[in-house]
Amino acid sequence: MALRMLWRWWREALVSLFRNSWLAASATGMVLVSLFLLGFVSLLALNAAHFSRMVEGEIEVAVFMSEEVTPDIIEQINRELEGIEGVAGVTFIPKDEALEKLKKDLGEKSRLLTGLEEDNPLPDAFRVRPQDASQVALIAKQAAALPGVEKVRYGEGVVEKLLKITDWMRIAAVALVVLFGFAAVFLTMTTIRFSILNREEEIGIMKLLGATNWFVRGPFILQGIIIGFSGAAFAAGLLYWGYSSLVQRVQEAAFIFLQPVTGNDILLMVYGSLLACGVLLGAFASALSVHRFLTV
Amino acid sequence: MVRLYNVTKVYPNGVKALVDVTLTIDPGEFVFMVGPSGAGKTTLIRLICREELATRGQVIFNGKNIGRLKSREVALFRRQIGMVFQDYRLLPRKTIFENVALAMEIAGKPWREIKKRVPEVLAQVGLLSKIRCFPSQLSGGEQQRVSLARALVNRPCLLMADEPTGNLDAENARELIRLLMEINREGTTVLMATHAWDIVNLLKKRVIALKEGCLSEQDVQGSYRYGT
Repeated sequence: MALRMLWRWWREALVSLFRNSWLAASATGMVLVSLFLLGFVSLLALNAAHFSRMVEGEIEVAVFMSEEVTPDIIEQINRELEGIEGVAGVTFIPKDEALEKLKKDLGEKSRLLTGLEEDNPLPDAFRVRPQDASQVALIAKQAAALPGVEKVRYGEGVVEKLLKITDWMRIAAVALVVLFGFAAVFLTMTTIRFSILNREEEIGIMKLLGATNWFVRGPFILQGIIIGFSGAAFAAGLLYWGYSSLVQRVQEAAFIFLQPVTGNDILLMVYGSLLACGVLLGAFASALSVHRFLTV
Repeated sequence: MVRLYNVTKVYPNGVKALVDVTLTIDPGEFVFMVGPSGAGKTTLIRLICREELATRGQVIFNGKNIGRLKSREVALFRRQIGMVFQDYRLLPRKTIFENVALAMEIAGKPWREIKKRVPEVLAQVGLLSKIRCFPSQLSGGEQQRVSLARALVNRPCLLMADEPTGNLDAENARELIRLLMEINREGTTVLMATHAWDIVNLLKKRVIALKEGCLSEQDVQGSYRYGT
């Protein structure tokens, strides 16, 4: 009995979709567009968050030592820097190494530095990585208070502005996703409801012939699921194709600083969520629309 | 089979459609229900198939108070009744076969039985050749016969027809009545609301007359006296 019912649902849903193929196609198109936009904005948000993280990962505190520190003191300062709350890691850069690096950075002009090896004017330094970029000012302040520390630099002013920008990027990304999420829900629901509205009389007749609610509801819900799933699948397919080729272009162009998100698991989650959205919205919208006509 | 005890129906807008109607229809009867428009004929039918609930009084079908049925029981109960409407109420997106088969699918009949029974009943109403057509490809008379076939396909014990000849010409109306009589002879109780006084007068069946929601007359071998 249950199997026969299930079989009838499928047959009924497919026949109905086929006979109303124009309506079904336009409903699928609407779902496609709204979920595509939602997916697009989600990928944008994901990349904005990724980009913010990358930018913030670059922020460090540079701690310069005064001339006359002994290796013992350096050892001790290293320990104390590591002990500051919010510090993720400390790297010591001896003055010789700093000079080498400067030479390398200057390239051809490095001969300006010849002769400085004997009397290296650069100080010993530490690079302190914070766990969280927003803590740099605090870390810098504590580091400056340590004995033997001459100067502390972290890009004062610039870092604060940068953090403000990354914060805004995150908020804007979430807001966009929420906004487009609502739009997708509303559009999908309205489209599917619209495709059922003109069936009110049919539903009434079926009920008068003694149909149970599930007899009527089943095929409609299946239709909603099929429309929602196809729309979402097309949207996810388009996004997958578009995003993959975009990622490839960016990687070929080798903007090292602008690496997009490429993690398969997180991208699969985006596409999977779109499919789930399509199916759930389709089923829910259908059930809701039919429900209004079932009280005969 | 059907008993109404002091049934009153007042619609939410205050219209009194039926007032204190008490009535019995026995198994195997053929009953005409007559009366001017707005007399309550349709309301009475809707009460018996529980499309509406009585405001006061009881509607009993085969010993059961149908006002007390739960949603699922209502569905089961309606499968015992065949309904024919003035406007046919066929599903426009389904073929003739599917329209008639729908009633059997609703009743949970297996597909094998449906495939055998539907052509049978379509042959009975003379429409076997139109089995693959859609309702819009049929004439009014043919559509009404499809509607009758759908009502009959589950062999209901009660068939209710609400002005089934209202949209038909004289010939089609006669054909429909002939089919209803035949069905009645096979044992199905028939309740038919109508304006067609010529048919009522001709057949000399029991007549129930409604006037402004009240039962005004009953006649065992009656004729349509209203307006004559």
